[in-house]
Order: sequence, then structure tokens, then C-alpha cells
Amino acid sequence: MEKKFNRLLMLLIALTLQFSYAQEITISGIVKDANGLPLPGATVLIKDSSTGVSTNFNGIFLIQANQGDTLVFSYIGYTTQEIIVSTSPKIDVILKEDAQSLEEVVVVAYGTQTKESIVGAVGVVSSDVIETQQVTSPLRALQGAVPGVNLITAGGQPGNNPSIRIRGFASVNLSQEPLIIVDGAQFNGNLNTISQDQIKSISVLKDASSSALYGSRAANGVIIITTKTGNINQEPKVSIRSQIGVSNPTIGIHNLVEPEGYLKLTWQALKNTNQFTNNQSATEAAQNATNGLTGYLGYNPYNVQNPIDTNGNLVNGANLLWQSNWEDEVIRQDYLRTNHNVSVSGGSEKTTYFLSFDYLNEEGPVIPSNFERISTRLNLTTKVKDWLKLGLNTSFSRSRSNNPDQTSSTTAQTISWIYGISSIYPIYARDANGALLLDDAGQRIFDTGNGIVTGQPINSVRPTFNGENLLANLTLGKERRIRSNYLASAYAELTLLEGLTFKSSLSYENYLFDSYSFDDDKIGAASGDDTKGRVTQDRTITSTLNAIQAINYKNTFGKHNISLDAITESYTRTDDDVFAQGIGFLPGVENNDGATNPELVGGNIITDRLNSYLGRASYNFDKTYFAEFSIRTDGSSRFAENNRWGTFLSGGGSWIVTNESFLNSNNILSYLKIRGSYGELGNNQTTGFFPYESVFLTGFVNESNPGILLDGISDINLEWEKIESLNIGIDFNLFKGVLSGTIDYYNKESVDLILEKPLAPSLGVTNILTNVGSIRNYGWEFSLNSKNIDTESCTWTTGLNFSLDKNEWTKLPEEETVQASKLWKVGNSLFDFYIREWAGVDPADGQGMWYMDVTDANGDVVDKVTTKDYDNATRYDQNKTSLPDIQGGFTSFVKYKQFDLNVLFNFSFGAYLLDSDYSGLIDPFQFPGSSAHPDNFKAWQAPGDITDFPLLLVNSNNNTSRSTRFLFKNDYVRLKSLTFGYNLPQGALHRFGLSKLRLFIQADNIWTWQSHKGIDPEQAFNGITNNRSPLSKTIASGVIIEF
Amino acid sequence: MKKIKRHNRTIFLLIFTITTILSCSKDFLNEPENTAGLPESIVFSEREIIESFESGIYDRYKSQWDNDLGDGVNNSSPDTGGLYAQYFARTVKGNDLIQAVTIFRFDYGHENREPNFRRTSFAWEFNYEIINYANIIIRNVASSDLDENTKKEFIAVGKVFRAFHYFQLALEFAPNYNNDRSVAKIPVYTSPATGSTIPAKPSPLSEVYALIINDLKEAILDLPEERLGKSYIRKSVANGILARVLQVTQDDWALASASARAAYGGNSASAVVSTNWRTGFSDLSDQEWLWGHFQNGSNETNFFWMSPHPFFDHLVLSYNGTYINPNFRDQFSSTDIRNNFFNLYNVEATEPWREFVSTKFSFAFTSDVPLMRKSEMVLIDAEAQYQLGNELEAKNLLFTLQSNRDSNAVMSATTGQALLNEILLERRKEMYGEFGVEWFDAKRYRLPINRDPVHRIPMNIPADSELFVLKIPESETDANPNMDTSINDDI
Repeated sequence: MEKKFNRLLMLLIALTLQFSYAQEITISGIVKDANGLPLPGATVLIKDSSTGVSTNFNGIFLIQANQGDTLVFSYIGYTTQEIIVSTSPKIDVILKEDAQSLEEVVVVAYGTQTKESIVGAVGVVSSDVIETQQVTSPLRALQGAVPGVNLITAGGQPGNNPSIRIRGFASVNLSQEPLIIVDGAQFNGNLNTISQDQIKSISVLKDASSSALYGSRAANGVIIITTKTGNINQEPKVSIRSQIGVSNPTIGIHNLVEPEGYLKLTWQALKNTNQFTNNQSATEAAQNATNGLTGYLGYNPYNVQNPIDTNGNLVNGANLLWQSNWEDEVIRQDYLRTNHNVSVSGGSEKTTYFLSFDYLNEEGPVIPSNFERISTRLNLTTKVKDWLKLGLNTSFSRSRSNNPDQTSSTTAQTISWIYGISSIYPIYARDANGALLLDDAGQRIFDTGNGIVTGQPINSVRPTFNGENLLANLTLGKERRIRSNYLASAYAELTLLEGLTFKSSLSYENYLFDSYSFDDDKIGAASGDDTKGRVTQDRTITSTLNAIQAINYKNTFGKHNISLDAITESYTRTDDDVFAQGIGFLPGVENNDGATNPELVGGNIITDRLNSYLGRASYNFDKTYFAEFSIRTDGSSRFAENNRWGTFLSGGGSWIVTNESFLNSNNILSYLKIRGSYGELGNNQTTGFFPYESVFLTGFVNESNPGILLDGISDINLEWEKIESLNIGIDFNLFKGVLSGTIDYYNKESVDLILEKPLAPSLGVTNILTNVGSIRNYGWEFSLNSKNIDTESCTWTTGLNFSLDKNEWTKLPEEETVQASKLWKVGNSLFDFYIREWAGVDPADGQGMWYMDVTDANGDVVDKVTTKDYDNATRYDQNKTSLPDIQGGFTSFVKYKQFDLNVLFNFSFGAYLLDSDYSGLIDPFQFPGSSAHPDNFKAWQAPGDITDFPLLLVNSNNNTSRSTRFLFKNDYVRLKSLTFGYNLPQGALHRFGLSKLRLFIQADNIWTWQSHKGIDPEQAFNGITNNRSPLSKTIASGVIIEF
Repeated sequence: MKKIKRHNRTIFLLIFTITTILSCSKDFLNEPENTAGLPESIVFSEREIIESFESGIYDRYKSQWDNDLGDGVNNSSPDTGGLYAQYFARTVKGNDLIQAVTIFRFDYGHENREPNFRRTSFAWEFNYEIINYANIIIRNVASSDLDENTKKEFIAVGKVFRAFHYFQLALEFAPNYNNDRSVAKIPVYTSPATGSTIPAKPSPLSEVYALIINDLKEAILDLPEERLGKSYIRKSVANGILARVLQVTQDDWALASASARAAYGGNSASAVVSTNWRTGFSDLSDQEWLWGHFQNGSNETNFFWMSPHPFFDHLVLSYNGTYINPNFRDQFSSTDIRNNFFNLYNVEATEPWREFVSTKFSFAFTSDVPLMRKSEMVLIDAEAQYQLGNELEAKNLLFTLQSNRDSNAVMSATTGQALLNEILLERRKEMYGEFGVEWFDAKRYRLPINRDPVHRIPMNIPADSELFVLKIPESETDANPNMDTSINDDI
């Protein structure tokens, strides 16, 4: 019916027009694609005129033209076609898909490039990929999505940013984190202030040529975040996303024994020490252990004086009076994550806009950790004149979180506490008989284990964590973090001549980190008459001002395409910090105004600057042969005047082989590109802003006199670290896109590394920062994508990416340097374990054993024997490293009619983990009170016992010291995200006036397979655990509405 | 026309751009200043700033020391936090006091001495850090443009610091000086470290002590008596340190006596008068105190990190960690003002070691910590007189203190070794808990530490046992080409 009407109308119009303009003819036709489907909205233009029309919904167009005119048919993503008007009034056109223009435009350093023109290695994560995940810190979306990117999120505090390493570890002492660019300017704020919905794409620049323009700061790779914009002539589009989820800890923490077992094990350790170390008879040893047990622990959770008898069993009639499950008290289950987002985008003929508002509230596993954030963004562009374009991107974000300590190794840290204090220590104070102590109001009192009742002989003073109570800390104290980030970047782009543009950009970022903590006046470290509560406030404003002036000339001479850039950049970062701490508060007063004693104040303002000149020349011939060259000179205020400037060169080329005629006729290889690049980058990201000079630090005090102290010694000749980077890669596409992929080989050598060279401590200084050493990172990256099914109703694609990364010292100041559990020497990696080798337990006496080398007079190793003396044991290169041999991700996307299912796995194999969380729970009895793992029940007890667990002891011993005993393989596969969605069909949508309605269920980190159980496999690059709180797994349901 | 306009605009913009690019970038990069602190050139230009360097060192003594000042991370713990911790670790090694299961339990058990243990690395790194500071003061003051008096004073201060810390190193890492003076354990440096300094090979003890004594003698000549406060080192403290050093070398008792006298002022009767007994040993202003850590409870406090007070005091919230050996307690007469022991917990039937606590030290964030007192100097004088053969003078000096503390005290009737033993016992009774007097005397007089069975960890440490010596840390043998792990072979 509709069709009929259209035809009638067409005819009518055609007739009318024919009458009015006799000299012209009316041409009509249909524009279709190769599959015969009409292309609505295609443009039909008369060449060299301003006359043009668009096709209607059915691909039909009507246009007046003279004979001999050229009609230009164009459509985004299709090759433009030109047809000369003859006498025929009917022109049907079939437009071919244009492989080139369909290529995504990739955001690169200081601009964009089509993917085909890139000569380096760039990975891209689009908003489609980000959308399938729930990432409070947006860069967590990179995990498993881009090969060569190693990412670890340490601890479960919501909003935690991951540590990111691109292509290994280009530096050792300087920052290893990539440079983050948001809409063209360096971002110094906290990434968790950006919401995932604002992001259009994330580009990861991995090699020298792609990142060279960021030169001095790009040594660790560059991540460019581009936020969304509207489009010209776009109707306002409103998009609403809302999702609510429930989270639980992914893996949890190690298992712990309960009070009865704990007392039995401690008894065993006491008895063993009495018997085997202090040479008491077995009977005497057992009796003394029984008598001394509660005195050793300071607390007795049973109703009898000596709850463990001389056989190591619980005495008859002993009743447990309390049992503290600290984990249940402070680790949550089923906590909420809520995220709502509204965005509006659109554009007129000259102006585009994008407006977004995002609200997030996420709880973490540790009470009362949470993260609540609003973030807003407005991106505007407008074409003032045909030669002048202006743009402004602004965003504001504010987050507020309760941030109890979950990552440090202090006593008040949640997991340290759970591992450090066993279930026999009560949460609430008890008297000597084990009855609850009550305050005047009849309320229970938190037990802090430092003698609340003077002279109470037992259940009063803990051997560990005196003066603290975790539950009191978490519930009465406050650890609040407020992060406000304001970001504005404005630019003006002038077209001076055809092909010559000048762009001036100015961006300003103001990041306010506001930390507030309150230690309660009644309970814990700040209780007591001397303190009466403590409020600590720390505010740091990091402001960054960045100005870029760029001239670009682009032109085409026949098949020669050139592009030239000259850029200058100046960058100023200022850190402005104020700190105040007060004590002496009335109950209920929790702000510094109420402090009766202003305990401490502090603050400093310090500035870092960079000034750069850059040039880039790109050339391609017939879009087949590409070459690019760039040069950059940087001056950094982080180096002394004579060493301040560094010049970095890079170049690269690529060849699209499939553009050659000899491959035209093949049906297998649809696209093949070979690329290579080589270049230098610099790194100046030292911890301090003035690493080349040692100064006398201020802020010390003695008897009210100001004090200063010299901070180490420095190397005035400190200069840029340089990274020489080679990349060779291919991009290919087989069977017209059925299988596509990218393979890259890279080799990066960092030279003049700024290292902390260890000094003999007798010099009075333990290290000096100086340019010594070189390290090499090399490896392979693979990314493969396949279109398994591609029909109208069903799509199935899969993707696999992985990288094989190696790290190797190539030069070091000393032949060998032991760095805790690692040995640095040429040929070793940064993270090769070098530790003592566990040789098991001697069944005769239950002592732990390690291996040691026996050397002859010449120092040559002639034998390897076991020793029971840890200090004599030899440290061996274990040929095991904390870096994975292979890591990557696997994705699969299935769409069937209105349903879609997306999964993303990330995996890591070959890495080792030195689990000191676990070793701390094994034979912890020399640290009385510390929690114990159930594995302690496997300990040796009598001669002849065959076990891998030595006898338990209360005196210092090295059985749980660092050795291969606690080195575990840390392979894992994690289902990082699973999204199942349903899109309402078009027909139903029209009825509601919507353009999209999607219902989905999304699960993050929902399943993990791991070779070492007990704690999260994501720990640290160096493979050392540190009492980190667990990550969360979240199942959410949500809806997306667009109209 | 339009084209010309456009052309003008282009030229204007190009000129603008080029000017921007070439505009003085030198100033742009020179402008930022290192506001984190003061450069060396400024520090040694004024007396007041050098003084603040000295003040900084005392802050370091009494705070939470760790081996990296500027990294913003504290890797230390209360048993390795500063000078106080070094002294308290010695305190818990004896027989007179019994330590509960606190952080000092490894020192109490004489276990904390392996090359990778924190007692060892702390004792090494802390003392060497201050020695380097001392060498920085000595060199930079000498080459400064300050007036001669100021130069003399601060070079002398530097020398006292250097001597004091080499003395501590020799006590911790070498066996008794008089057993074998050729034992080489301690590398010696007399100039500040630079990035290219080659770590020294260990010097024989004779050379280490020669430097210590020489530094102290020279410094005493140049030091004034006036000081900014009692936590500062000047003439009397330097004399006191010299007296202690000579107690170890035992080869110049006349100078030991003279130095002790210079330190306590010569009048023993007025010197021993103390206001701190029965008031908690926490007040630096006592005339009897020569040197101490100052705390004010607000910006100058080390909280629960300090020792000995938080460990001794059982009447406030703290570690309640130190008990008194009943046999030591029995050495005090009932009229001795220092007899402030009592049974707080009444658990002696099941845990005899917990019978007695002492109120010598009362803990608050304002508690000052004694490092050197005149009474000690009077007793050094007594010891020196004994060693010089003047037993009567020795007894008189001893009695000066005894009679001040106990109205019923009777002058000693003993002679010979018994008199010396009495002097040494009086030292323990007067100074227990302060700087490890029992351990110090055992080490220098080659005495055993035989613990009574009442102890939580009873053990007998023979005279000259290797347990009196810490091993050289692994970090040193790893990084010093002139030293390897064989240095620990004999201990």
C-alpha cells in the first residue's frame, strides 16, 4: 500500500517538474547495495554544483539534471560512484562496500588516522567492548581485550585503578604506568573519575612510531581515551542505561582454624619448643605447654584454666565462651552495585553536542568500603566559519568513598588483621573469667587488647595488635576519600589554506583529592587521655595546564599523499598539598575545628614542566606504500639544566600487499598489510620532581626547634631513560573477513635506566638513583577474529588474543644484585625468583630442610646437599618467574534474532606466585595470636612422621621463611564478563516511540579457574602477595532505552 | 580580495605561531624550584640552619626510623624505631627484667641477630646513617664561610655524633674490645659518602676506638656548655660519652674519672639528687638528667613506639610488657625510694614471672626518655676510682648515691671484686630499663648473663658468648666488595 502511494507520488512529481523545466530531465532510480538492499539516505549530487538530494526510505531518489551532468552517488562506507547523465531518466545504482572507508578511524597521537595508514602497533577497544563490562575504573576493560597489555587490579576496594603494563616493563625505578591522554591532553587525575559510558574508544599505542609524538612520556606506551561526541545533522538521541547488581567476593581469603584447633596447635608448638629446643623431657614439655598455653596467648576462650591437657586434647567439660570470626564480621556478602546513566547527543548543521550524566554506587567486600560517583560531561563542537572550528570538552566528576585500608601491610589493614589475629581473641572485652565486660550504660566494650582493666591477669593484653580493634576501627572510625575532577579542553582549528590547518588547544585539569580520617576517641590507637580522637585531613590539588600549537599541511599530488605536522607543546603540572591533623575531641566531634590540640600541619607546592617541539611527516603512495617519520625534542624540569633536553627520533613504513595487482585475483587473501617501525622514546617519570638533587627535607622538630635532614645522595648528571623500540607486524583478512587478525613482534630495549643502585649501608645511604643498566622486553602478540556465522538472523563471532612477553636484563651496574626474592643479573628477568629451595621435612626430627651447594677449594660446586640451617642454604635461580608465559583473552559473541550473548575470558599461564599470605598462616606460633591455616594439622609430631610440614615451634625459626615451599604456579582463567541481552524488535519499539530497548543480564568475574587456590590470582606483577582484599564478582540486570 | 585577506591571516598566524614556539623556553623550565627542602649550599651558610640539621638528627633519634627517609613509606617497627629502641633491645637481654610476649620478644630470647633480621640491619644502618650526617657536618662546616667559633662548635658536634655511633657499632657488632683488638668488623669512614665512594674494608677494633677517643677528646676542647636543650649534645654529654667509652677500653681510668666528673659537675652529692624517682622518669628538666629524648605530647611524640615507658607501665593502656625478676626486686631495701615494685596480677602461682611490675617509668605521650644521667656518671667515677686503687673514694661516691636513694643505706664494707660487684649492682638498680646497663656491663667485663629459672625464657649466656654480637647484615656483604659473608663465620 505504502509502495503504491510512493510510486504515484513520484509520478506526479515527475510530471510536474517536467512541465516547469523543459530543458532539464528528471532522473529517478534506486540506490542499492551489493545484496540488493535499498540504501536510504544516500546522497545524490550533481558534480560541481550545490544541487543534491537524498534517497528515501526505499532507496529511491529523484533529481533534475541536464544531459552531460555528472551525478555523484555516495553513502558512508561505500565507494562513491559517478554516472554521466544521458538521455535515460532512470538510473539505478549499486554501490559497493568500500573496504577502506569502512576501516575505523583510529585516534592516534595528536590526531586520527585510518587504520590502514598506521605503520605502528595500535590496539583499540571500542565502546561496544566496554559496554559488555561493569568497570568502575574504565581501563579495566582493557584486560583480555588488547594483546600485550598486562593488567592487575590489587585489592577489592571499589574504584581501585588497575596497574597497567604495556609490553612488559620498560622501566624499573621510574613509573611503569602508561601515559593517559584524555581528549588530547595528559590526564593526571584519578581514572576512576571517568565513567565508562562517556568513552567512545580507547586506543593503546604500543610501539615507538605510534607513540613517538608523546616522546618523553610515552616510554611505557600510551592510552588515549576519546570521549563521545554528537554528529552533524543528528536528531537528538537520548540514551538511558540503568543496572543494578549484587556482588560477592570472587575467591575470598585463605581458610583459618577455629579456637579449639588453634589452642591445640599452639600447645603443640609450645610442647615441641620445650622438648626439642629447651631439652625438657616429653612429660615435662607437655605439662609446661599445658600450664603455659593461656599465659603465652594472653587470652583463654574456655571456662577452664588450662583448656588443653597434657596429651594435647581439649579437657573434658571445657566450654568455649566465645569465638571471633573476624572474616564474617568485616567481609560482606551480597552487596550492591548500582549504575545509572543518561546521555543526550545530537547536532545541527554546524554544531554537535554530547551530554552525559552518570551515577554509580558500588559497595566493596570490606565493610564499609564503597564508591559513590557522579560524573558529567559536555562535549561541544561548532563550525563558526568555513575556516574556523571551535570545540570544548568539559567534564566534572566527584566521587566519595569509604576507603578502609585493604592494601597496605599495616596492622589496621583488614586482611592483615584477619590473618594476624586468631579467633580466640574476642571482639568485645571480657573479664578474667571470660564474662563480657559492660560499660556504665550496660553496653559491650570493644576489646583492644591493651589492658582495659588495670591488673586483670588474663583476657586483657594481647601479644599482638595492642590498642586496636578492627571492627571498632571500621565502624567508629572514618576513612573517607573525595575526589573531584574538573577537566576542560578547548580548541580552535583554523583552515589557513586548502590543506593547511592550524590548531591551538588548551586544556586544564583540576583534580582535588580530599582524604579525611577519623580515629575514634574512645577505642583504638587514638583513644586515651593523651589523644582523645584524631582527625587527619589531606588535600592535594593537582592542576595540569597543557597548551599545544600545531600546524598541519596535507595534500595530494596525484597518487602521492603527504601530511606534515609541526607542533609545540608546553606542559605544567602543579601539586599543591595541605595536611592538617588534630587531636583532643569531645565525644561526637569529628572535625578539626573541635581539636583542642592541632597536632600536625604540613603542605607543599611543587611544579613540574615540560617543553617540547615535534615534527611529523607522513607520506603514502597510492594508499599502498606508507612511510612516516617523526622527531621530538623535550626539555624537562626533572633534570639538571645540562641534561635537560632529549631528542627522540622514530620512523616506520607499511605496505598493503593486497593492493598490488598480482593479488587482485586471489580469493583467499582479502587484505594483507606488512608494517615495521623503529624509534626512540624517553622516560622522565621519576617519583620525585627533582630526582637530580638531594635536599635537606624540612618538617622535623626537636624541643620546638625546626629540624632538617638530608635525604640520601643524588646524581646531578641524571638524564633521560631511553627506550629503543622495534615493531614488525602484519594485519590480514582471509576469505572476505571470515578470519582476520594481527600479529606483531616487538623488541624494546631500555637503556640508561634510572635505577636505585644499592650502596653498602655502611656508607650511611642505602641507594643512589643513577643511570645504569639496560633491560629488554620482547615478545609476540596475536589477535585473531573470526566470523563464524553471518546471516541476517544469526551472527557468531569469536576473538582470541594473546601475547608472549619476555623480559631480560641486558646491563647492570653490579654483576649480580639480590633484590629480595629476585636476582638481577644479565640474562635474568626483572622477576625471576631467586630463593632458597625447600627440601622437605626430616622424618627423624621434624626439622625443615633446604638445599645447599657444596664447593671445593676453588669455589666450584661439587655437590648439592640438604641443610637444616636456612642461612647456609643456597639461593638458586628457580627458572620461575612471576610473569606469565602467555596471557590474553578470548571473546565470543552470538546474536540470534533479538537475543545476544557475549563472553570474555581472560587467562594467564606460566606465572608463579610467592604466597606470603599463606606462609604467614603456617606455623605462626612464634607470633602468638596470629591466625593459623588448617594445613598446620599436617605438621610433624613424632619421629617417623612423613609430611611436608615441619614441627610447630614457638621460637624463631626459618621454616616459613621465603623458599620454594611457598612458590606456587599461578595459572588462571577467568570469565571476566558474560552478557546476555534481548533487544525488543523494531515493530514493538515503534509502538512505544523508542529506537532501542534492551534488557540484559551481565556477570563480571563470575567464574575463575586457578592452579593455586585460596586467594585471588590477580596479586602483583612481582608475584608477591600482600594481604590484599578480594576482588568482587557482580551479577547485574539492566536496561538500555534509546529514543 | 578574499584571497588576499586569507593570505594576511595566514601570515599573521604563522608569525604568531613561530613567536610562541621560540618564546623563551629556558625560563619556562628553569622556573620550577625544588620546594621539598633546602640545598646543601644554603644549609651551611648560616648557624641557625646548621643547628636545625642537628635538631633533625635528634628528631630522627626519637621517631620512627626507617632506612629511607624520603620515600614516604615506613618499613620500621617500634623495636627498630630509633636510639631508644637500640637501648631497650639491650635492656631486655638481661636477667633483671622479664619481657612478656611483646615486639621485643626476639631480643629477649637472644634470637634477633641473623644477617637478614631487622635488629641487625637496624643497628647497622641507623648508626651508619648518623655517621654519614656527622661527616657531612664536619666537612661542610669546615669549608664554610662561618665564623671560627661557630665552625669549631659544629665540627665538634659532628665529631661527637661520629664517635657516639662508632661506639654503638663496636658494641653491637664486635666482641669485647679487650679480648682481641685486631678483630675487624667495622668499616670506618671519615668523609661523606658520594655516589662513587668505594665501601671500606673493616678496620680493626683498635683503630675504631682510636678514632672514637680522638674525636671525643678533640670535640670536648671545642664544645661550649650552653645548648638549646637537654636533648642536645654539648660538653657535658661528650664527656659522659667519653667516660662510657673508657669503661669499655679500661685503659685510662683516670680520664674516665675526669670525664665523668666533668659530666656530673664534680659535686657528687648534688649531682645525684633526682626528682624523677617515684614520678615516672619522664621529665627531662630534672637537674640530674644530662641527656634525653624530648616529647611534648603533640607535634613531638612517638606515641606507642617509644620505649621503655609503654612497655614498663602496667597502669595505662599500652603493652604491659615488662616484669621484674623477683630476685632483682629483692636487692632493694624496703626504704629504698627505688623500691616501687608490686604484684599487680596475682598470678604468681601459675605464671611466676608475672609477679612483679615496676612503676619506675610512667607512660604518656609527653614522657621524656632518659639517655644519660649524672648518677651514672657518679657511679662511673666510683668504678674508675676503684680501678685506680682508690677504694675509699669509690665507696664514698657509691654511698653518695645509695644514701640519697635510701635513708637507711649503709656505706659498703666490701673490698676488691666484691666492691666492684656492688658498684655494678648499684648501676643496675639505678639505671635498669634505660640503656641496657646489665648487658653493657656483662659485655665489657666479660660476664655471663645467667637467667633465673623464673624467667619466661630461662637461658644462660656464657661470658663472651657470640650472642653478645650481632652478625653483619646481608645487605652489607652483598654490596661491599671489601667484605663477604665469611665475616660472620666466627660468630
